[in-house]
Amino acid sequence: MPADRFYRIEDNDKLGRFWLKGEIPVVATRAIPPSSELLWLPADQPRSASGAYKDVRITYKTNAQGWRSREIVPTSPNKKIMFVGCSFTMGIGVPYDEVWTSMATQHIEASLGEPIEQHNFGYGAHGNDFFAMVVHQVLPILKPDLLVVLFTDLSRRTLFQQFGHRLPLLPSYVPDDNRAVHEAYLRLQSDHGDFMDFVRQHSFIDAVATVNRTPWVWQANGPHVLPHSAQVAKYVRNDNMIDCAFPAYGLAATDETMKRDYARDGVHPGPRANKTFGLATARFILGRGLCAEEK
Amino acid sequence: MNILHRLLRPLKLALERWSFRRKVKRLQKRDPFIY
Repeated sequence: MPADRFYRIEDNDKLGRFWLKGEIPVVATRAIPPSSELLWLPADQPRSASGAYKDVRITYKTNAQGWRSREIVPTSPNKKIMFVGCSFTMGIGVPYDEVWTSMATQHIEASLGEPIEQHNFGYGAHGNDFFAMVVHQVLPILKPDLLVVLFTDLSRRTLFQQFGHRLPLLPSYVPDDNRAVHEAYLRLQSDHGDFMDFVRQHSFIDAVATVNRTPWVWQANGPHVLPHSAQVAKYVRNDNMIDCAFPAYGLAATDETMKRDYARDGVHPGPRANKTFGLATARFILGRGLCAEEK
Repeated sequence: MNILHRLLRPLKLALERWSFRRKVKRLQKRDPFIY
């Protein structure tokens, strides 16, 4: 990308379509092209393959916009569940059928005895502001029967330096060509600002879901992500909060088996954590009769 | 700026650098993922 090129707002329509109403955002990149099947991702490389999935063939199948999900057919008569989140939801280092979103969909499908479409809008490295954007753009087009959001660390932000291009900002990834921007982001960060941002994104998603008459449920991708529940309850709606936190795994776990529960990349949650949270999500949804009503 | 401020300035800068490094380490420990 030439640095001296001036990107106009029209370039956003041709490139990412970010925040553009009535359009699905395009997240495909050179490394993760649209409508493709990949065996490895930049985040999941053969040199770091380990754990239960070390020798398992994992396929990353992307749709026309670059999401690890099925194609969007708004006229499809089946019930649809839309999942939004970060790499935990995308299922980096995990076969698609064993990601918590697939676990939840399969369980709900078996309980209700009818086909249910899983629409996975999980995308790695991005934060809650990005999730709010995805809900804003996709929900009115897809019109799912249920929306499930797995919020990520509250410090992550998306920066649009040029129209049609996004720069995800997160503490552990320092982009080589944007070191100064990354440092500025870290200097501006505060836990208080992060919580206020979470409240804003959460309330925005709630408003979009309410306007589109779509029930929704949510949780955060780790027990340490949110402040204590009394404070959360004061600021955001929590009657739709899934009653099971995403299980602690790896170094944070106390249980011996969970300590070794890693995905193939050796960083993300493995099969046990995905299964536990997927089933807990399904139970929560079925227990409230969400997704059970006739279309 | 009086002489005391001038003498304390390197110390203040060092303290600022140290506290920023601590903040970054804490954030990276909280969210260790790069994806």
